[in-house]
Amino acid sequence: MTFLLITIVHAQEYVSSNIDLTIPENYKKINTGEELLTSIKLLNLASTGRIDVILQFQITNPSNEIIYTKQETVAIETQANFVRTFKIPKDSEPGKYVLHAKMILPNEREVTTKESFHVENKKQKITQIIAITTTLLILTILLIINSKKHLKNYKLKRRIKRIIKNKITQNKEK
Amino acid sequence: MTSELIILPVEKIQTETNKQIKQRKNEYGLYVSLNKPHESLESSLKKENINTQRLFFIDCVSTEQTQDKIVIHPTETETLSTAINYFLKNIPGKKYLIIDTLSTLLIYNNENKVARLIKEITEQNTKDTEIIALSPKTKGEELLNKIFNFFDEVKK
Repeated sequence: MTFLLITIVHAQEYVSSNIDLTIPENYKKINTGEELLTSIKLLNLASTGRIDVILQFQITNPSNEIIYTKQETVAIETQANFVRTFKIPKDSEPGKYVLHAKMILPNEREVTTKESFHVENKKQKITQIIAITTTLLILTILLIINSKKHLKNYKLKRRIKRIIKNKITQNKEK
Repeated sequence: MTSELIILPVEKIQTETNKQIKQRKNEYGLYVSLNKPHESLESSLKKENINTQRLFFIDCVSTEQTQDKIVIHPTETETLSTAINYFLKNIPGKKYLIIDTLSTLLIYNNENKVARLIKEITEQNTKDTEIIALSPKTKGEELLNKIFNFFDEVKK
């Protein structure tokens, strides 16, 4: 009977403790070097008093490598809401990143969650735009030069044809 | 198509050119003039009793372009090659091409550019065409050494 009661209490704790991670819509896409803003909500409905939980954060890059880790202790009673920012290194590769959060309860039970976001390289993007624009510009210039050359050759050939035709006609008439 | 390079002292070039034209009086010819403007060349040929009615001219000396003559600056070797090619393709029957004083092209272009032009001209696949190029000996004969092989025959 005692064993059954303990199991029920633990099951209730499991259901009632949770961590909720939200990345606002305008932070779902950020540039390298910028800060990622997140809103964190911790729930501890089963607990009657204040408890200290350990929060662990990890950010993984598109290659699934950990680029950031942070740990802190937070005190909660039934609920805690707070905001955390994470600086994305300037040299990060662009792509899909994942922020993992883990809450470790005093009884060592762990609750995890994750949220993904995209990192773009503004500098790389600008460089790409410049490269594309320059290529297009060069191609346009080459096209114009080529067209001019073709037009010049076309005019030259037309004149040659007319000169030949005139001379041959004159000679035939004679 | 046959091609011939004639190397002569500069003072004999015009006489040889006249002789070559006279030998082909019944054929149409294309004269690429690198020495005299079209008008003065035509009048000097007429003085030599050469019928210019069967001659077409590419004038590389004049600066003024008019509707009834083709003027191409000697630096424009690509245009020159295009014009020669087009003339030879469109002149009917047996015809010839005369280029006087090839070496004049060296004043305006480097040897490689001139050699490329000669290669393009001599490699043209035009039937019933004779190419006669005249040139005095050039300094060090570098150009002539580069273009010898492009001609079927070289006369000195």
